[in-house]
Amino acid sequence: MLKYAIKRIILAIPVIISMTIIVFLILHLAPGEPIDLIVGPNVTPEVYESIRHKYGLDQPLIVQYFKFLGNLFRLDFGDSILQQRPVSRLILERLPVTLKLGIAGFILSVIIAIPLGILAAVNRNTIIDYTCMTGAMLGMSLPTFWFGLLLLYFFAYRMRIFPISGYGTWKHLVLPAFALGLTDAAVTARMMRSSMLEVLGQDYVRTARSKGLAEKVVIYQHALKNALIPIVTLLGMRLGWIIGGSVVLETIFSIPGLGRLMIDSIHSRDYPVVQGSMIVLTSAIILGNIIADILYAVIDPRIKFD
Amino acid sequence: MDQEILKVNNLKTYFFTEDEEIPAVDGVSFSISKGETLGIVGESGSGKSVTALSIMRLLPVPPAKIVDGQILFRDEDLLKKSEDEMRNIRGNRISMIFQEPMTSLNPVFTIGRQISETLILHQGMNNKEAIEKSIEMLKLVKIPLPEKRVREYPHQLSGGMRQRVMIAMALACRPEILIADEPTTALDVTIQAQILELIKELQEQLGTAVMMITHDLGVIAEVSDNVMVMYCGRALEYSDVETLFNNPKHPYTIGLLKSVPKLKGRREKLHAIKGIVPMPNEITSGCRFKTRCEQKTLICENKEPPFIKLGKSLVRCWKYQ
Ligand SMILES: Nc1ncnc2c1ncn2[C@@H]1O[C@H](COP(=O)(O)OP(=O)(O)O)[C@@H](O)[C@H]1O
Ligand SMILES: [Mg+2]
Repeated sequence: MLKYAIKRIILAIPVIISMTIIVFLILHLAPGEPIDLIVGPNVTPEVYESIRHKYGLDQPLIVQYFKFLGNLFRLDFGDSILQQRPVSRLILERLPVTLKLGIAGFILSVIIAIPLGILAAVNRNTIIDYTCMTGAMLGMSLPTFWFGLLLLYFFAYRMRIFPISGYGTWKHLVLPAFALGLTDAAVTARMMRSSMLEVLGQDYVRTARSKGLAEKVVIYQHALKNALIPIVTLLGMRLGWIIGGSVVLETIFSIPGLGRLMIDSIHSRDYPVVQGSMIVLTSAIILGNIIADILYAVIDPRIKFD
Repeated sequence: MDQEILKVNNLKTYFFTEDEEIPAVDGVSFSISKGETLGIVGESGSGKSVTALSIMRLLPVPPAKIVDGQILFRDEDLLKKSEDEMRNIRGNRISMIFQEPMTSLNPVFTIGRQISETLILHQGMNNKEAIEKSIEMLKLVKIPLPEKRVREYPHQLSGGMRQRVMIAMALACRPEILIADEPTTALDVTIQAQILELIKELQEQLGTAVMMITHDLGVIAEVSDNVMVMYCGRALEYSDVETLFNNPKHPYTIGLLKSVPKLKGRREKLHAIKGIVPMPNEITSGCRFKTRCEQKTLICENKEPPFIKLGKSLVRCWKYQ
């Protein structure tokens, strides 16, 4: 088990390295020098050059990359051009907000989706199934931002149960977490249903029934554990998206999270911040995938021995 | 020996799909006595599995529905039992093993868990007792290193070993009847023989009655006391095994026997029955076998023959009228 986990983490190293190269290149190959922002248009070439030198932008790309990589190991993403503060500090300030929202949405989606998916599969082609799946279809086709606005309109603007925007109390989190969780739940529920349906048609489910086991045991033990295998992978990947998934919602609900930070810094071309938040975001996704694979091995005994 | 424990009367199991009614099993009757083996033979699609699953009451309703008949198990009609009562019988008094040993065991549970589950459920054992008994069962089905195997998962075992596990699981509660639905079809020939041998041996030890379903007459010859030949939802011939092999009566049975290679005597050309098994709802009048029968007469076209008693055999063919 531990060996598998270590193997899996080692396998992630090339992925992480490629990721840093891509993030690095995107910003350095993008048109426009980042320092144009700091220096303004009316500056002598000498001053311009000295600033370029100060940020190391006059060195060859490869040297710049290795410096960038070296800094990454120390979790040093450089300083924000706009705010003149360390990017890591900025990210650390925003991360908890995003994590809270993401985790709340994630938990919400799991506790809604899994039971609904099972319910729909077990009652296939009945009114229960159709209701669940119509709901899921709706949830999937409505964009998260639209759903967020809808929730805002009804529960914040009309009924005034929850605050319209901002961040601070748990009440601020309820609507965005639901907007995030419900749209996510739609995808998971559909997947849970089809996974469960497939498993229910397997020979070993028939074997379980032929042993005289109660239908509950057949479904919640024999079938469920198998049906969860693909779902765990999906959820693992979604876990990584916790940080990236709420970018849009943070904007709609004016929540000062990492997503907002990233969007704002893209607008203001604050490249070190964009770079830093992209690294955090992609790392979270890679981490999510690793967790998914390890969980997969925990529930599927066939994995470890391959 | 002659104590009848299972008696199936005029069983009719139909499938009702959106636009069709498929009489998969259409009026089949047979009985099994204590310790006896009834072989059910027939080509694929003749309704053997549906018959077995009807007895277990494991067919999905809908589309399946048992529209008529009785399944008397120790004189009680299984078709009148509640689902709870059936659960008490399944895996306990009547067990079943299936064709696909590779997929019939749950991949995410250990062998021990899967065997002990029935013991805990039906025999009220605690976990420890059940695992000990599981090890004992694995020994009984001759799996080497049972103490180790009991903690392993199905994918760590070969097909033959998995079928042994299935047998151990099915026999754990010492059922009165074991239904084996093509238990050796998916296995290598050498393993097939071992599994059949094992079933025979355990049957003698435990006194279990066996319903052996197969499309392979070799298997029938090996294990059966009585044989029912099924075709397209019907029984065409029903007799003891010696009579069936020495003196087959129905043209279908004769055709099946001719298609089995023999090593004794002259090597004759193998004789395959022409054509394919029709769908159960294709033939609406006359004899089910008429489309492939070489001795067909006018009456076969229009009127279905009844079971005709000929010595120790029952045969459904106008030839013997
Ligand atoms: N789930 C099902 N839905 C509709 N028809 C079925 C179903 N299962 C079996 N049948 C029909 O029942 C007939 C007998 O099938 P089966 O008992 O599996 O044959 P076999 O003798 O090969 O075991 C087949 O011709 C098939 O068309
Ligand atoms: Mg079959």
